[in-house]
Amino acid sequence: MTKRKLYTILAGLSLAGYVWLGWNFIEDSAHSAAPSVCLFKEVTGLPCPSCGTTRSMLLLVHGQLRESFMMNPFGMMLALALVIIPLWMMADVLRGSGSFYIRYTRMEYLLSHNKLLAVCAAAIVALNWFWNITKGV
Amino acid sequence: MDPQKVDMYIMMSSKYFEGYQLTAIREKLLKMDDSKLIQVQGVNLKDPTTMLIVSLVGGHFGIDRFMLGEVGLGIAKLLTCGGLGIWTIVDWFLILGRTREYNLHRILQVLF
Repeated sequence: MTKRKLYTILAGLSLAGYVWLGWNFIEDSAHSAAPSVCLFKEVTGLPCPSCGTTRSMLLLVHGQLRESFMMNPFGMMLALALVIIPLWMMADVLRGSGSFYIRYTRMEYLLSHNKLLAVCAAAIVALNWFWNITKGV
Repeated sequence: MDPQKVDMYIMMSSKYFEGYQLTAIREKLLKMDDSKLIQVQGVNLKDPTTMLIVSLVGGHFGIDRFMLGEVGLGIAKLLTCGGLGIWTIVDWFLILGRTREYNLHRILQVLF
């Protein structure tokens, strides 16, 4: 993937993320009947590994760190990514460098060539999924 | 390379590539040495139809993107409930072209 394409996709994703979060924040639908956009949950009735991240991030915005982590630990990760990635990309564009792109490709290479790392990452996701199902997010 | 062998290869692997790419691949293969054929045939290509099934079943978890080597986007898809469900549906339509692009990329690594 080219640098331009990657930055465009990630910028679009970040923007969509902020719009989605902002809309949920205004509606304050953290606990009300927010429309479920998760296809897996709609079809099977079971939560997917990342169900609850929106609620987790909203709790984080309200400063409830512990509840946020208990809702879904991925919420914190995504919140961090949503802050760091756009800023890093913006800095890259302004300075005309490609430091984020280099890091990104290195991460992709590591995850697809280092079996142990890939298995560990998959295990974390599976554990979180199991946790999600048991707590009934 | 022997035109007969090249045509045989093109015929067998036409489903892996876009139609307009086949002529260029054929031209390139014809100019190459016979010894490269084994290498070309050994390239692990992904069947677009299989990838479509993977996308329909596991696209929500980004498995289709992982399989095409786009680990970063796969993680993004996995952690956002398949891009709020929208990205999943968009990918059902994009994955065929994306797989063929991936296959072309793979074969070009051997051809050049």
